Amino acid sequence: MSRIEEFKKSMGPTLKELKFTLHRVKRSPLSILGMAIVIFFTFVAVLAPVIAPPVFLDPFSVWRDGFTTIPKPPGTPLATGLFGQMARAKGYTVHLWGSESGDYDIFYGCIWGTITAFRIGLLVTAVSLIIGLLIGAIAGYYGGVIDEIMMRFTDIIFAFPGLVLAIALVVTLPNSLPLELSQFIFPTVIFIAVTIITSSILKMSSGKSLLLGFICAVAFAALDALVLNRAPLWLYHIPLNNLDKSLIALTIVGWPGYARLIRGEVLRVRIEDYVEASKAVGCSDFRILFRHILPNSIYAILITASLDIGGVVLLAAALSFLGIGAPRGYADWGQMISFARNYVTLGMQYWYTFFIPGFFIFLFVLGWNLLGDAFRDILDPTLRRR
Amino acid sequence: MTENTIRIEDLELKFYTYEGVVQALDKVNLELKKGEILGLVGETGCGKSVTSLSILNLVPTPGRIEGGHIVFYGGEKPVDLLQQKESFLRGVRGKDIAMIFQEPRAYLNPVYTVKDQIGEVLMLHRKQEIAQMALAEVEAKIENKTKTKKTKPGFLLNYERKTLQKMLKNPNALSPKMISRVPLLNRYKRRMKNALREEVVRILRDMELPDPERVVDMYPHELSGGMAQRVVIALALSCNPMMLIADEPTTNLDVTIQFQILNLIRKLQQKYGSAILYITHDLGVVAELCDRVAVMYAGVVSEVAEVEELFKNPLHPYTQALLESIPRPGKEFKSIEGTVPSLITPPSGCRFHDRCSYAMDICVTTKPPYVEAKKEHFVSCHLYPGGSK
Repeated sequence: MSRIEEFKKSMGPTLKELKFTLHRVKRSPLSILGMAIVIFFTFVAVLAPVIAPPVFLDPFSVWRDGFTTIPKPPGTPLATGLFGQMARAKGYTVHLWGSESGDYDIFYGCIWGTITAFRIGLLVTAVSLIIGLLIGAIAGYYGGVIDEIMMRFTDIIFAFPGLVLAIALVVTLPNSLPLELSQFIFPTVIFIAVTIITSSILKMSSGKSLLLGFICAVAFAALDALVLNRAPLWLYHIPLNNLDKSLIALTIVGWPGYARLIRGEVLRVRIEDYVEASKAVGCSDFRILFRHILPNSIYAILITASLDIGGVVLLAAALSFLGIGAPRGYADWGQMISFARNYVTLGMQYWYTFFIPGFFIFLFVLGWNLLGDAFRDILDPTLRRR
Repeated sequence: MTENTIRIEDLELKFYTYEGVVQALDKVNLELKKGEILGLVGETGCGKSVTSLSILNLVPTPGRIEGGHIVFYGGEKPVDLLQQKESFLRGVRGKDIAMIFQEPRAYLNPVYTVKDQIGEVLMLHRKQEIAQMALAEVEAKIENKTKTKKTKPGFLLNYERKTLQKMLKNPNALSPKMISRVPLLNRYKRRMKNALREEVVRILRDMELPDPERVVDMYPHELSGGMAQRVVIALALSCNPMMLIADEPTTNLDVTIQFQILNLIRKLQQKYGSAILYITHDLGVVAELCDRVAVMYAGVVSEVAEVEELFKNPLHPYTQALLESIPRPGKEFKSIEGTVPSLITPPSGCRFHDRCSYAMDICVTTKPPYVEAKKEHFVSCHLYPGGSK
């Protein structure tokens, strides 16, 4: 006990703030609910191989026991065909939550679909947040012509309806990364690796190590072009399936919102007195922007982002429902519902085909929205100390 | 004591606003000698703060410096700050010329602790000294190991020493920055943090802050007004600058704290030997603190003299009126007639002529020259033509 007391006394300000934050979380039941839902989904995603062991080689392809078009209700025993036997070998005996049209197992699709949902939500939000943060912050801080160019560019993307632009992008993006682009990957990696190794371990001067890294990268590229031209081509072929394309499309649709928001916040903060003070002590522009302005303007954007994770998953589900999201048979909630498209109108007889995946989407989005609200209450400094 | 720290010559500054061009500064001349406290007095909007900001070339956007020189005698030879590149000025700001502001709490970043903010300035300008302190600690540890335990220092400890030595040679070296995120290899950072903390505590103790070990971990909103002002002063003095610009640092504090801060500034000025440009509109503070005074009116320096001289026999009519208007018990309260002129359309000739009781014809037509009316007593008024009388 005394050691705990001692620890509490020695707690730094960061820990104290964290404790206060947790205290705030404990007091609002809705945020606890949101957090519980998100934690539940996290567990489902992490334990997916245990809850639903994969049957096929690719764990993300939903297993099926036949090719019939009519969905089967929960509890139907597996068919005796080859696929059915493969599923039995992994311990499945029945379709636990029924099957979709095409005999895809709903239970397996929903469990593994959680990972897909997390991947879509977190990846798209994180990447568009970073892009929006950089562009919005630079536009807001420097202003003038830079601001005009960047903001008009975001306006152009804003001018299209989000879903329509996303559909158009998914349809028009190529099926693999352009070779011209993917050829740069290895030399870049070599350049960075050589620079870091020579400067930090061999203690070369920065100019020398940069030069050496550049020489190594160029040498690799030349060697590659002359000798290895054919052999590692498979390395350069980076395929993009429809899910990757929809990730890219949703990112392109998503970042302008963040850019707008962060620009407004930077405009508000950059006229604060402490920014002037940091100029007066000799900070560089980069330092002022990323050390002094951004930490004071990032809260609103973090809250929006956590609310958006749910929204992005909804959009991706919409793309999948239209048939241009995840590839056929991929574990994805939107696609599960898309399988049920022909049975939605037939009344409640086939309720499980659309209700179960729909409920997963509903719960996931609700969880993130509640968590976003909780974040706002906790992080927003104006609401925090009430 | 006759050497200069900074000399401002014929500084002209204009604000290009929507309503028109504001002629904020019109041929300002000022000298700040080494180790002195110069009070800069004037009404609100007469260009005191803008003068100080233009020394650091930090004039806010619609303002532009149109002419003149600001010669700084900090380095081996004098340099004109207005001709220098931004990168050079960044080295001067905070290190050679520091600033204290009016509202201390607004000038501290709310998301960082005191340690972080003072530490940032130290890392910007005194990185080598901090590296030296950290290195000394590492060397002591290595010596302790080799002598008492008879063991060789481990690879990590050696590596730490190497990194710090490299940093000492070149504070902006690339490799320490690159490994700063690599666990185990970035132990040198923790060592530097400890050294930094010690240094910050030492500086805060100099500022006579009670319990500096506790204050270093506080956020700005946890500080009282007086404490915040001391922290801001610590921030400014942390690199031992040659010149300190204090922009009304005591205006928002109550009288007892104001007294303490003034005492502190005087004490620190004697200890560190910095020259101070003290901007205020409080003549009492000027009489208390400063060696010399400069009086500004509507973007012009109207009179500069030593404190006693200026208070005993003010030459410029504006200074006389200003001294008259200090409220004293048992005396009828007087104020200067008229209002401060708009600087978009400043009065022709002498800018004070339409409020001046000694105004002559020449005052309307020509701008008075800036002359030395007595020894060390400069004035810009037609009543004192050409040199000493």
